[in-house]
Amino acid sequence: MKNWIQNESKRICLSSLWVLLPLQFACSSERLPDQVSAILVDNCIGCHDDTQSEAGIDLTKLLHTIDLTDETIVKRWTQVERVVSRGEMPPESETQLMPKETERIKDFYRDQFILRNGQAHFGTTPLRRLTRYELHNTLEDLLLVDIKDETILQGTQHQEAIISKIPADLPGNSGFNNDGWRLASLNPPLREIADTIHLALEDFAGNPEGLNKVFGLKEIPTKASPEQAKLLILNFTKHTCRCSSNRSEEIAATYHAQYLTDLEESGSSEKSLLSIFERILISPDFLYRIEASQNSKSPYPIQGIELATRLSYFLWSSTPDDELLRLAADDSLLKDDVLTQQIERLLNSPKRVAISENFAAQWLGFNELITNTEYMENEKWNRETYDEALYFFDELIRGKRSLLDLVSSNWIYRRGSEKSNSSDGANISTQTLPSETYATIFPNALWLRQQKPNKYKPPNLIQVTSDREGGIITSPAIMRLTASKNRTSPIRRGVWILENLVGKQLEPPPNIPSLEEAKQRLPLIENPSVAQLLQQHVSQPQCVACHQAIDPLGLGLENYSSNGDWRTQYPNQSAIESVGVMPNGKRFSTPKELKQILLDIYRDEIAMNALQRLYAYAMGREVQPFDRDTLNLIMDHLRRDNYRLTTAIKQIALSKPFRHRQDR
Amino acid sequence: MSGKSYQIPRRSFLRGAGVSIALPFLDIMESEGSAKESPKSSPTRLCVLYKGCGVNPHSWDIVGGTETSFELSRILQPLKAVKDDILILGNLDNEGVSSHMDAPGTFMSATKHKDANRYSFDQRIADVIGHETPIKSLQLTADQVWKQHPWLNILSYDQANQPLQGQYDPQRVFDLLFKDTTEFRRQTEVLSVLDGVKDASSKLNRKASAQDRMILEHYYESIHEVEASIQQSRRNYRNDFSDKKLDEIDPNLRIGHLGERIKSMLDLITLAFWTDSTRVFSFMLANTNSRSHYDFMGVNAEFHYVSHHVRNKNVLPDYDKINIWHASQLRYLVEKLKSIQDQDQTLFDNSLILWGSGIKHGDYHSLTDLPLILTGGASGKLELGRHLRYPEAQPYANLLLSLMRIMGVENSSIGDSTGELTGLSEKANFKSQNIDDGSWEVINSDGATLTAKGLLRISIEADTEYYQLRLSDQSDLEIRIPYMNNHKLRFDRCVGKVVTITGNYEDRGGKKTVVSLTKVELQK
Repeated sequence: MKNWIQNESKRICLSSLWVLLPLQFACSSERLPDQVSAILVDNCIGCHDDTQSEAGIDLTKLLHTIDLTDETIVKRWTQVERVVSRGEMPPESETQLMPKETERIKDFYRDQFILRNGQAHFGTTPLRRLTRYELHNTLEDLLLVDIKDETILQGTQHQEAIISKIPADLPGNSGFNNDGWRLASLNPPLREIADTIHLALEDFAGNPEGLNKVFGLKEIPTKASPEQAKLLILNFTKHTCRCSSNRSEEIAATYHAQYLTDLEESGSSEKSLLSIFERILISPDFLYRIEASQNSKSPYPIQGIELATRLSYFLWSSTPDDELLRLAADDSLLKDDVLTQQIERLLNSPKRVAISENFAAQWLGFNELITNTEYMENEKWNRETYDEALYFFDELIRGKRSLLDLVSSNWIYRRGSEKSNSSDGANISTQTLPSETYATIFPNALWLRQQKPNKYKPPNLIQVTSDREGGIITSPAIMRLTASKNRTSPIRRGVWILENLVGKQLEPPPNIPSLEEAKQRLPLIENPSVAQLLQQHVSQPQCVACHQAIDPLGLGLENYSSNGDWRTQYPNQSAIESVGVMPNGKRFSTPKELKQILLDIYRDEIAMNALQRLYAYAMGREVQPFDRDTLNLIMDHLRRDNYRLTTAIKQIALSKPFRHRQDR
Repeated sequence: MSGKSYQIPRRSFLRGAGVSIALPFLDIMESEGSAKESPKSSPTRLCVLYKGCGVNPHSWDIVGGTETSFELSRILQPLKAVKDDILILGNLDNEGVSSHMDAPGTFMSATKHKDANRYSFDQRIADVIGHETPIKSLQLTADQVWKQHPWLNILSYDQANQPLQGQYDPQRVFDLLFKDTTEFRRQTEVLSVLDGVKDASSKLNRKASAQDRMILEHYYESIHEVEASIQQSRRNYRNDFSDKKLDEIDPNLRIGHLGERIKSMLDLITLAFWTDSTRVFSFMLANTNSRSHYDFMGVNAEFHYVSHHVRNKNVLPDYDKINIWHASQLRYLVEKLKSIQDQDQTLFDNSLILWGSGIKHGDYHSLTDLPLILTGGASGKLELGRHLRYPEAQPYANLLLSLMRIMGVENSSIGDSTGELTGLSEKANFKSQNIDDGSWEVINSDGATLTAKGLLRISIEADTEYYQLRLSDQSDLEIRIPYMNNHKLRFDRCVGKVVTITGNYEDRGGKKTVVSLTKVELQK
């Protein structure tokens, strides 16, 4: 990426696009202040040098220069600052830092990594290309057509839907496939995008409803006058391109000139117009979300249309609707109160399902249930399991619920059940979506209901009464995704919770001994249990730190089979012990108790992790050190407001980074 | 040139076992005029079959025999019928990282560092010969992309280090090969649309930042690449194509279980070679962290899980079973290619196939003595029917260099190559390796520790893996050490080599058994 930015040669720029990363820190190497390096030398390097490298961490690299373009150095410093400010390092057995020294490290970190020249900044704003999912939604909303990408679930597509061949996007460092830097680094699948757009326009041309929406016409004229054609092109551009009217006119004029040439060959204005529309939709003005640049190193506010676009792609994964465009045109959207109203309006719209379908499904991984054959049980089971997770997440928004409900809740969505009269009605939004509204946002479900009215019903919200349910952790979706087909894996489940919900970055395990060797060290126990084996398995000191956090979580969920069914015995009929001791010393004997202890220990971390994931998704980039103040501010809001997911969404959309742009 | 009207079918894809998809009628290629001259000799085609997760060395290694007279090992049994058509390679080492993530990229480019440019050898070949066919090259995969770690599943990288994702759906591969490239009218449309977008570019995006403009330039650059590939497919359309070829091979696109999908893909490779649609394939049969279940053959656990056969017990039979099956897929492809006439030879005679895994030992992830098979007549550039074991370990990269030359691509190096491999095109007659000079013996022992020299071999008994040091007196010193001990000393990578070991031993049933090692030295 350094080459890419610094080198003028185009060829080199292309060859290194693959490792393209944001250039967040424009300044290069500087000397580390002596006072800071002295603290490291006196207190840290003793264990973390290049030979001993305790816990695999070598800090000698930090001593000489501050290379702010080196990602590993930035990450290492972030880690150092975190453990030092929390008092986790140096370890208890060693001499502790003096308060003054701790402050010096923190100040140094703040000056270098959070601020730039003493000012807050938000890093280079990535240019965002529409992902497959966003492109489909956008075309559907603009042209009133129906596009589906392929899933492994049979019969879940509209028969008349366009089946898009655009391949799935790869996730970037943010963990999401809408990562601007990742999208910029890969060649777009242009052939497939062109084909999908072509089919969408074919359908659009034959659909009076869509034509009426865009042009106020029932059909595209076969013999349009040049002036009429010009107007149609302008209308189409204005409708699709998310740009100022000046810009629309500029684009329309360019393509109108092409239209006139094209018409001479084709002789049909309809044909030529459709070809022009196709060009407009393949042009970067449509496929990218280009924002006007002031070529500035400091953040500056974006324009109304740009904010409307950011907002609707964040909440709907689609293009702004007419109301947003209207409020954008006169920049009234830039006002806090108008923006707040619009956030609420968008969250009340069925299109908000994008947050669950796109953000949550990637974060929690439940999209794998409908796209990855390895998780295929049968059509019905996968569909229902996926829907339970999808509706669960949407309920956090719909019911304005706490994101901690992901861990434990007294409600869930369950297949094949009747709606229960929820007793915690006070918690539930009055703006309940009518069931037919879901039908429009879950067209797959709609199709199934129409075709097979008795075979498929969406899951219903029910009150949880047993100790076995509640939260998404123990949902069949997550239990299936964290197991292999016929075998549960306590480690995989424990790691999933710590990485995905708590947000820990677990180091890959060093070479671990086998269970068989562990068995040999348990000579006194005949037929040791899975728990005993694991305990021995991780008896090595370098393993304990992680495994004392991982194992109880996974073992505590052994009552759920690989399909999420409740069980009390393993297939070999040995009994399941789901009792355990958490790292804080507390015992649990049911999954419900385990979830409670999980919240007791990690409440803030779970909330912060959810917030960071959402923020990365909203910004289309990885969270960086300079985001810290923004995130802490939003965390304060969250704590005060019962950790509601809607509060996190709202505060991100209202935050400065979301409403500012920075070019370098 | 008459063109069919363009329409991408709107039918839902038929899925599920046993559903066969009717082949579209492909009359478009039987067009009059503009026939190309037939080339005098048929070109050589390349196919890489990558199977992740290594092997159980005990089931893989060929013990004894000579270069041309040898017994196939357990995993290689399915290749008995085509034993004269394969060249099994031994003692090629690929130093460097061996994680799940890196194994495929390392296998294809022999680059040690994951941050290095992974421009893979198949793409280096495709960049030279790919312009002669409608499609430059194709990448296939039988494993699903695991979204959190997509790189696990990627073999090929282009010159700009862009990962080329494999196609998973045989129907899509069929369409790419025989449908998309024949839609002339649609191609014309796409070309004019893209041309228009490019023409408009000069007036666009003035307000974008310098960095954004670079990304947009990259976008226009890729428009150019798509145009070039469409033009290529039009220039190289197959004039001798007929649907008779399709009938004959019938790529019976069963999109059911993994086994059926792989078979369909192998049929499609054959068909693509025959119709000269492309000459370069890479196919991921399984990646090195494969979560695939081979349940169609009765294995109800993840491939990756059973591949860790030292730590996970009772999985070895399943592990072997899958590897044997992977070997049988190679036989399928060989027999298929041999059954097809290609000018006055068979398609097999003009193919070059590399079958292998990026790691050797499934649990230790060793990179030495990789399991590799070459097959295909390679237009006379391979001498088949041999087990070619190099007396001294050779860089694996040298193999890639040789394969590139066989494909007509001269490169001075790839990865950490030092030169080309010898012995591929004619009998090598290497002097037998590891000659016992009489010094293989227990050099000293004091009742608890010993030092011994000998030839290290891996052995197995009742699902337990252990090692044996062959001594000059033809006796074997047993070595049964803990997993961690083995792993830390990277002991497994010494198998097949002469080593001097130092460690602790116990007396078990009157025989010395080494129970832990402190030092291992390879003989120079």
